[in-house]
Amino acid sequence: MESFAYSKAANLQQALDLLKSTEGAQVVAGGSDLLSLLKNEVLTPEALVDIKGLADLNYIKDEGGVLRIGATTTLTALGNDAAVRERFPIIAQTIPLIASPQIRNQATVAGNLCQRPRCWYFRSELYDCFRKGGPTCFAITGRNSEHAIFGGAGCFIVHASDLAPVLIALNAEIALQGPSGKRVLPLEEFFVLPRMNPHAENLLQPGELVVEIRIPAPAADAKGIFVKTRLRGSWDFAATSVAMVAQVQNGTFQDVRVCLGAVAPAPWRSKEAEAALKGQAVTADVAAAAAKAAVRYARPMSENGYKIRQIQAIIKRAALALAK
Amino acid sequence: MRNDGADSKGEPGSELTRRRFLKTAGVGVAVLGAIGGWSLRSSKQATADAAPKAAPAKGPRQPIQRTITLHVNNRDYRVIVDTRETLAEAIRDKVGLTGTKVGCNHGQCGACTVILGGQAVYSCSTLAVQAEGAKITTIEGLSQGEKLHPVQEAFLAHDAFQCGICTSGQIMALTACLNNAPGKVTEESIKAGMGGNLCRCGAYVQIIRAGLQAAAAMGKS
Ligand SMILES: Cc1cc2nc3c(=O)[nH]c(=O)nc-3n(C[C@H](O)[C@H](O)[C@H](O)COP(=O)(O)OP(=O)(O)OC[C@H]3O[C@@H](n4cnc5c(N)ncnc54)[C@H](O)[C@@H]3O)c2cc1C
Ligand code: SF4
Repeated sequence: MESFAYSKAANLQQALDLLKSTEGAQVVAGGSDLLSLLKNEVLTPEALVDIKGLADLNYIKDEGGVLRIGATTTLTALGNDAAVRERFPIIAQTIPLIASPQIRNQATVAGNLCQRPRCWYFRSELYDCFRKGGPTCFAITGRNSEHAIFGGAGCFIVHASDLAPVLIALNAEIALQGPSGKRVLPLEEFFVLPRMNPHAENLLQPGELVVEIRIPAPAADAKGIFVKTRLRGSWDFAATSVAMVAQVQNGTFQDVRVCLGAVAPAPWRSKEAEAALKGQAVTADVAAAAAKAAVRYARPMSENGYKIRQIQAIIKRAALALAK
Repeated sequence: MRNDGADSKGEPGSELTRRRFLKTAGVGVAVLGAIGGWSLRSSKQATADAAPKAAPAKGPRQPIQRTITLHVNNRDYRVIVDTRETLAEAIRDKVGLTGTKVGCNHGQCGACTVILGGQAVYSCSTLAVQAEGAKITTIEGLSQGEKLHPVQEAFLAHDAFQCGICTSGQIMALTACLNNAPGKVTEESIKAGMGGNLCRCGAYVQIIRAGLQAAAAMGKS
């Protein structure tokens, strides 16, 4: 590990000031993702600014129906929150499927959304790959069983967050604060594909922090489900996942949002699946048509074609579960 | 990689740690499999596309040390740590409590589990400097003198280990799982609470039985 200076911020303003005034500084929260990258010397920041203890970012509030989640809320706290369990069962259902109990106790909501790719070439300091500023993507001709079937260009990582597709299906917004002030954007727009920027997974600017997630009040008849496939029954990253939130009236999907996980360099909203489901009384045939529509533009690599079959299976499963 | 500070004294020769050697020589393919639990690349493929990466041309950074107080097992320990030191390293090497083990050192196996602020965490994935001020319990802090904790008793009664390397982590995870259980402990809730601890000897069945016994002893069944 390269040496770094360390400072613990006492509050949000101090964290922002430290990030602004410290050259080469990086944010650390739970550290569950970052420490591994520091140990492998994939990242070598000169300073860490610790925001884990920030009480002013550790909250879950229900404000006029909008659920506001502070950035340093842990995954465990999010999953145990009474308001979350009652109003957003899809979140409570997802949390136990993320990592392990220990990681969920440490990991923050913002850290989960900002986690770096799990691509094995990225995680190894031995491969100076395209995402890290090198000349080539080793996954193209190398091992790519965990890689993207959508949205790759130059780099074929998948975004590993399970929380991101769920929050996007819930139409969440993300609030960022940095040297040039505060901005709020749809969470879906926060993530970027390699064709926009192959070196970052999101729009965060230097010195900018994720401060809050906001989830609008869902319609009274909204229902949601998250389905994840993984190689092992205990902790594992998703091979594929789908988050689906629909307004269902008499078995008919009035409105629906479908976001796929672990299949693209960013959480992958499937407008194709949404179009196939919207306004339909969802039967097995309709669900199968939506699944087929979702993968129409998939581009598998040499080892990840299985993701096309898996994602279709879980889209069908999710749609039929919500139609019930 | 453990950093013992020895490579940061400014002598160029001492910079050549194992990782650095592999990096510079571009022959580090074999260590890739150890990272992140992914499958190994075939070495044929790897030599084909693993372009050697030149060592970055930058001067060595000076180590930065901090004096911190770690609150472990109801005692305060004033220790000097490098900012890079993980909590696991500080507990073992500075506090001197070696019951906490380091397995994968990447938050994937659970051997380093300690209880921090009432919750199980991986001490390999937390910096020592981050843990200053928090109440930490390690395996050494469970028994009361000669009297073992109900979870330790249950592990003995059910032979819930073989080689023992994962055991202190298993016991800490199970203790936190039982302490924090909102209601009745079941086989399912133990499996869910213990999902972050691997046992290569495969003592899982006995660990679950130990969990059920300890839950009963702790009035949680
Ligand atoms: C063994 C293992 C299994 C896992 N399995 C899963 C899984 O199944 N599903 C899943 O979704 N995830 C999984 N993860 C990833 C895990 O969820 C993340 O490591 C965790 O959420 C990161 O949170 P953290 O607070 O520890 O972040 P840190 O490690 O502290 O930070 C992660 C990144 O986010 C940045 N960051 C953190 N907070 C902010 C902020 N407020 N503003 C701006 N940048 C910020 C940091 O600079 C860093 O780049 C797994 C991780 C491990 C180690
Ligand atoms: S997929 Fe992206 S991160 Fe992985 S090797 Fe290719 S460029 Fe690097």
